[in-house]
Amino acid sequence: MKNVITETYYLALRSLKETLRIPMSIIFPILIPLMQLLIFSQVFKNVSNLPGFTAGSYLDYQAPSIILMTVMFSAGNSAFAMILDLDTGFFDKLLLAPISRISILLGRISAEAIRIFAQTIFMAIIITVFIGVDNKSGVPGIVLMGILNSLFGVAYGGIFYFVALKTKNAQAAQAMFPITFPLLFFSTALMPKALLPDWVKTIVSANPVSYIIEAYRSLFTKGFESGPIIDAVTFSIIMGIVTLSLTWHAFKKLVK
Amino acid sequence: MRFQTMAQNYGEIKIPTKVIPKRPNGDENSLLLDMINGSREKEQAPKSEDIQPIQSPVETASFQADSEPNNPTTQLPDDQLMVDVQNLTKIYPGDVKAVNNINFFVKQGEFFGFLGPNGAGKTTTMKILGTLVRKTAGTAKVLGVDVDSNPDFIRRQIGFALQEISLDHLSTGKETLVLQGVLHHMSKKEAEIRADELLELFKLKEAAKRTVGTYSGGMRRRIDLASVLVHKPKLLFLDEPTEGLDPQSRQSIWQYLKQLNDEGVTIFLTTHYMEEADLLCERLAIIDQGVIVALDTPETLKKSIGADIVNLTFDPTQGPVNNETIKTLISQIEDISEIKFLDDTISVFTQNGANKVPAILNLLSGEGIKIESISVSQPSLNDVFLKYTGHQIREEETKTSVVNPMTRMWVRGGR
Repeated sequence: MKNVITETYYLALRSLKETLRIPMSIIFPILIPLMQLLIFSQVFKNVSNLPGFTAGSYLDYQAPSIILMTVMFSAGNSAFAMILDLDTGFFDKLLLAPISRISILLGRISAEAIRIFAQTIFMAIIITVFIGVDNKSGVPGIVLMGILNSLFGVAYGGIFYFVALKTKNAQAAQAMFPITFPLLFFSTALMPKALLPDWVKTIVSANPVSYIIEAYRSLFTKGFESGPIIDAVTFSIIMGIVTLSLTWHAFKKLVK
Repeated sequence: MRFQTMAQNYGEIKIPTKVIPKRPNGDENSLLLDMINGSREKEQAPKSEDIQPIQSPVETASFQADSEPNNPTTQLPDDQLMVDVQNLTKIYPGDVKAVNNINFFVKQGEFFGFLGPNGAGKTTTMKILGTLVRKTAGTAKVLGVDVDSNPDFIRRQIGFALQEISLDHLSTGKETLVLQGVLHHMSKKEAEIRADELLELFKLKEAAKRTVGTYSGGMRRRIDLASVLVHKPKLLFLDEPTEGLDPQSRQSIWQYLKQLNDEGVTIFLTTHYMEEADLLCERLAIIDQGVIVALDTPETLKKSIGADIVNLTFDPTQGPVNNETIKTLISQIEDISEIKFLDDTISVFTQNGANKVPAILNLLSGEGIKIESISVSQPSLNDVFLKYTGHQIREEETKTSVVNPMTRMWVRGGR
């Protein structure tokens, strides 16, 4: 156990250094959601005049979903990096070391969690300080969003890990990326539930993404309310258990 | 401290008897087992099994016994063998027989080689021994331990350089080495000291802080080789260590390898370069299509061809010489096994070629034929390879020299 922690620490450190050496892999997941924020807040500006729209402006409404987009738009990165290791043979080099096989996976996943945490904090600061979206939960709320985003990011990233490890092909995993869009559009990310058709409401209620966004929205607009936060944690954990068990299964098969 | 212990033992491992007096606890059982298991593993690489205090001899003994539950064959005589392979077979999905019932061993301190074309089964055999690929049948023991029963033990003791240079291009040279060290359970400080040593040795000190992606081919090979030496393995597996290098880089790698072997490291290398096999290997197995077709010292293998070659060229000013006349003349000499004509050169295959030179010269000058040059050469490994496999190694090489990443993945998938 002690070894697993040490090994994971060094492998996570290596992954983080790697990320820092490709600055684009950090910049784009921040830049693109910001662009979305800019575009949607203008295009959908008048949505806020609709009856049943409770938030002050569309910008305020959309800000929490932008926090989530940061993680969804870069969710596959860590899985792709592992496939790169497979391709370069570096993965074999790790297998040749007298380390627990699980450390290889844990190293990558924990590095991913740290990256998402840092990116989320950065993003939240831009949104609140520079764009001026009101945040009732303050700095502790931002830290909490970082933690929730990491939790969800690891669970969501599991989908990409599973496909990547199952196919041993980065392109196959990349082809999974568009699932981000139905997950976002069939959630409360862009439109309040009250304004959606009934059949869409059913999907939105079953979509974990809605609960994550509602937790952030409640942090932004109301401050600390336990209900939405517990929902977000629960849904992330359920999703994580499913995706990470699949990942672990595929990983074990790969290294056996 | 750990680092020092390791360094001391590093030299001792060649002669197991020396290890005995230095064991901290004088328990006889554990001494015996230590000799089998390698004395440094307990001191240097604590694994999950020995989280309990190791001072108690009883617990030490039980740990050792647990780690080798049903391996009665790892007795002392086997300890001299670094690698012991019997009837080893590997069949990949789709009934591809990569390795077909091979037998060989590698002794302590030996420089052993596999010579064969790509696709001969060299890499598969090596990956089985390095715990990367599972065997289908037969036994394969490394340092006396079965590769399936305790792969972690083997991983701690060996260094394995893969055929494809397997580096993280975004890590610097030094980071690459330090990571290998800490993954072999050295402390960060030990790993850093060792990394500096190796960077110095491999003349990579100036490039230590650059990412490996910026390195030239020769530098990558060197840092890759250095990375398998960080934990001071006593047994090295090198899969085509000079593949794709220019002659100069190749020479410098050869030098490092010789030096390592002189320091007592056992080396098992695969190659498809005749020159490399000839120069480095004390014993050589020629492997083709998954089968070992010959195994001996390079000298003995070459002698098995049974002849030297005397090459003659003629003074062109005297006009063309009659090949048949010359053949008839030279055939009078005893022990001539074959005479071959190639362009302007005549090759005479014979025992003790040097002794035949005066006779050949006498016969030809007696007929007034002027000779431009005469030389005696010994058969090369090329001739040996041709004799045992019926084809040239080079033909194979050109056909399959491009390593297809998909093949690699497929091989991995088949584990």
